[in-house]
Amino acid sequence: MSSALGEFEQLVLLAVLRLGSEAYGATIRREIETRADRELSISAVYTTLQRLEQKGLVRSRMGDPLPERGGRRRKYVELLPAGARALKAAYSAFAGMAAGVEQRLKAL
Amino acid sequence: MKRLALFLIGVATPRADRESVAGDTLERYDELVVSHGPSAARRWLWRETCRVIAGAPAHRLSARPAAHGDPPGNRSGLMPSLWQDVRYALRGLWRSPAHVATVVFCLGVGIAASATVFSIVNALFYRDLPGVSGRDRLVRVWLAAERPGGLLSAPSTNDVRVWSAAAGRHVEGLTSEGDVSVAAAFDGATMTASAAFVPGNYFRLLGTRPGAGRLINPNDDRAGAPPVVVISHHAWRQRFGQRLDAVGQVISIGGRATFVIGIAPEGFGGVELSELGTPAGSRLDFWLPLAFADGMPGAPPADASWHAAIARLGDGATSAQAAAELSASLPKRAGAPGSSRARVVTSPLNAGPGDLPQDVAIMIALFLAVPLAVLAIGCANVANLQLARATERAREVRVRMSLGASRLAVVRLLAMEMVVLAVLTGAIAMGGTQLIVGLLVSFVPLPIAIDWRVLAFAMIVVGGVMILAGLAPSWLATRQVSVSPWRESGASGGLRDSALRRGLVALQVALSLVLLSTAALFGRSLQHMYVGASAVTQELVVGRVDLGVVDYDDAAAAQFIDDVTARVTADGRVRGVGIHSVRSVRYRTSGQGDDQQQSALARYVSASWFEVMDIRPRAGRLIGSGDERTAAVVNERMAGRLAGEGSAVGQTLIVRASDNVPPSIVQVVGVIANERRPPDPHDDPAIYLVLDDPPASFSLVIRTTAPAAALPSIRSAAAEVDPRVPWMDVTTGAALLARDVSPIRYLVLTAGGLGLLALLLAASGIYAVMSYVVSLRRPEIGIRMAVGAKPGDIVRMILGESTRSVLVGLVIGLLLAIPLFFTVRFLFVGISPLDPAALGIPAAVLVGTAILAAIVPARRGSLVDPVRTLKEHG
Repeated sequence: MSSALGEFEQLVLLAVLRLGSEAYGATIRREIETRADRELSISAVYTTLQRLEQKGLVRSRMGDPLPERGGRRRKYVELLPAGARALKAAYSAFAGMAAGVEQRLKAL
Repeated sequence: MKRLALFLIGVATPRADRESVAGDTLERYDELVVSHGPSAARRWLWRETCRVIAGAPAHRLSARPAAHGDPPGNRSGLMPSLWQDVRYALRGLWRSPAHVATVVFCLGVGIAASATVFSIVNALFYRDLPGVSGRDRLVRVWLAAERPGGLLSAPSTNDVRVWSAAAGRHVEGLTSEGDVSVAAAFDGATMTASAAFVPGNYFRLLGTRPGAGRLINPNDDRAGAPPVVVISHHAWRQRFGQRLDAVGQVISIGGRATFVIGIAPEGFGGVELSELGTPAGSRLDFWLPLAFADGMPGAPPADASWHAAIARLGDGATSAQAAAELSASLPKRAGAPGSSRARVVTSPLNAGPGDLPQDVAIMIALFLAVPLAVLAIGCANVANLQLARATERAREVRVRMSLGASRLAVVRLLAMEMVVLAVLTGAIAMGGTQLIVGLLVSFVPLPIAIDWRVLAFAMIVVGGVMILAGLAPSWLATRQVSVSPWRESGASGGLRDSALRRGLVALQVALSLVLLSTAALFGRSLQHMYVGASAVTQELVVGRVDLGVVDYDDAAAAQFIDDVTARVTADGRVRGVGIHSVRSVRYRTSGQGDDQQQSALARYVSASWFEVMDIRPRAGRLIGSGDERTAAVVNERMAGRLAGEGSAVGQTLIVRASDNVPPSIVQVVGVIANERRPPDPHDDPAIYLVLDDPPASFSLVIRTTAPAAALPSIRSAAAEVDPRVPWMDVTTGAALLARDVSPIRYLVLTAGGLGLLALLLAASGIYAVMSYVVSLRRPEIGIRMAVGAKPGDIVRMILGESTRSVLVGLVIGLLLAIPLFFTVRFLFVGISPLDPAALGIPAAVLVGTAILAAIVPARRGSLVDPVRTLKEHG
């Protein structure tokens, strides 16, 4: 486990963290769309989740078939300890770099 | 639409995520329906579909390593290596602009020509019906016998009324159009106009909006309503001089004063396509309320089959449901025994290619095949070039394969270049097509456009080109390598390769021969038509009269014909007037039974007709003025049919014009040549009978020394006798001839122009192959010259070899051409499909071209310096 998280990977991990047990494709995407205010495609979310899973940062499990999804199952995502660590590291790096310049950042 | 989007998303997504991605999409879609409304959600769904498709390669790549358990980051998927191949191909092409130019020329011409011709054919078939909206929900409705496959018949006014009343859930509405010719008078001028009698709901059901004024509505279609007419935009322009006050004028139609209430929108010509080659919307002049048909001279009775019925399908209904609904309404018909009940069938509104008469279909297929053959020749050239390139790269290929590259991978590498080139060429060719079509539109009265069908056709063509000129040669080129991957000789490819290339040359020659001789045969037909027709045709004026629009009895009709003839003959320049009326009849010989009846064309002619037409008997005599109606003359084609029982002259025929009249028994007194001159270019079996009862419609054939100058006085002759009777058409023989030859002229120009192009392409193919063969055989030539061969011997040897491929090609070409020409022989006038000149001259031209194309490489071969060559190749 090495490389630092990409920006979009961070967003996805934060969404997974926020959503807890309700984290799956549609909710993660909605979370990013509303909070980060950017339109994205579902395949972008899944591409990133695949990568995160390969890196051992999250794991996924299939839920039960749901009638409102036309009998399709949800793929729930769960943050793994390594993922939590990576997110924490990324956040502290970001927060560290931003410390003391918050006012100037807002003024930009 | 939602299901289609979900399906596309599913296809684009790797299998592992397919289910959850589709579910997530659906969930989000439902949310958006609630929050933003269904149409916003739909728009989002399509944007999302595009995004997912765009993101598909990345998604698939991210899924792949997991599926195979590979370490992450190893990007060995299909896409990147394909992209590598493309980049590799682009680099290679960038370095050889001459190669690119050659290929773009060889293929581009063929693709552009094919796409242009296809767009013309496309415009002929899939023309729009202007002024008709929601056309995909409209169907034609026919009456059919209970038995499937029974003949369809058009409905009568009564049927249409029954159906209109029966229209229910599956049929939103039903209307019809009954077309007849009527006599009309406006501003003192009489004319024959084509009119459609339509129910009051016609325009509303078709969704037609008026071009000016108003259209016919149900109030106009009542007994006793004031007579009104809607004129077509075309008629307004042609016959009313685009008068702004046309609406509100009064036209006399069938003797009744009729108010013009409106003008149909531009291009609107009812529910049927206008004839090929005529402007859109020129099919009909008038629309009249159906109630007006009662008592109109020339309009069929209410129980005659004369309507084109159109139904608009109800919401969500299929045409089968509509047909069932209408069938249920049919009254039990007291028809012929056995056909217990009629039924209703529907067909799409637009006639497709399947409805074409066979000869037209064959002509169009031929028209399309010509540019495709040029393209095939171009493909053969490019395949040759590709083989040469593959041979140049044989070493690289061998290395790749011995390092473990699969044959498929190598073929992909070699073919990718061609794929890139084909796409490039296709794009350039479509640009060219657009230009040509832009030019054509100003010459041809057809709305030719490059629509999705043309693009789809071009894509299929380009795909075919990729396979023929790219994949196949690459596959063949790697075959030799896979046989002996370790071979390292420089003179690779070798004989097998050049045999293949000679085969391609033979193919080119074969196709060129077919093209050139097609052009030659049409050229000869054209020549024959002009030569055979010129003398008399130039002096003829032909006018058609239809007495169906006035109610004449036989005596009045005979009087009319006499009066008109007298008036026309009064002109000193007129040398003779003949009358003929054409009908198709069934006949049998006296020895045959009723079940052996055959059909033939019958021409009822006046005694003067043969003289006017300058027809002389080939055997026997012509019908004279003293002949009873029992005398008949037949043409040679007919005589051929009758000849089985001895000479045609003297035979007795039983001729039946229709089932309602008793047959007439005639005796053949003479045989004349097949007519191949206007007004009739065909040489169907024909019987010439004595014109007795005045026919409802007939043609006056007038021979005059100044046809063009005589036209106006002839035009006025009929109106002077009876202003209600208009000429249908008065034309000079020369104009009729031009009309007859024009399709053939187009074929000659197309086939001839493209044939020359094919010749050029084939010549360059021969040149390239012979150059290649010479370069392969340098060592052999060196040895031959070292042991005493003269340069002339070498030239002869190489020319001989080139001629051999060409001769093989000629034989193949003849084997292709002869059955083809026999199939389309009805297109050729007055010549045999095996016309020696039409086959021989192109063959000679091809041999000559082949020798010219091979002479430069042959000379180069003869200049080989034996000492140097032997040294080089040790």
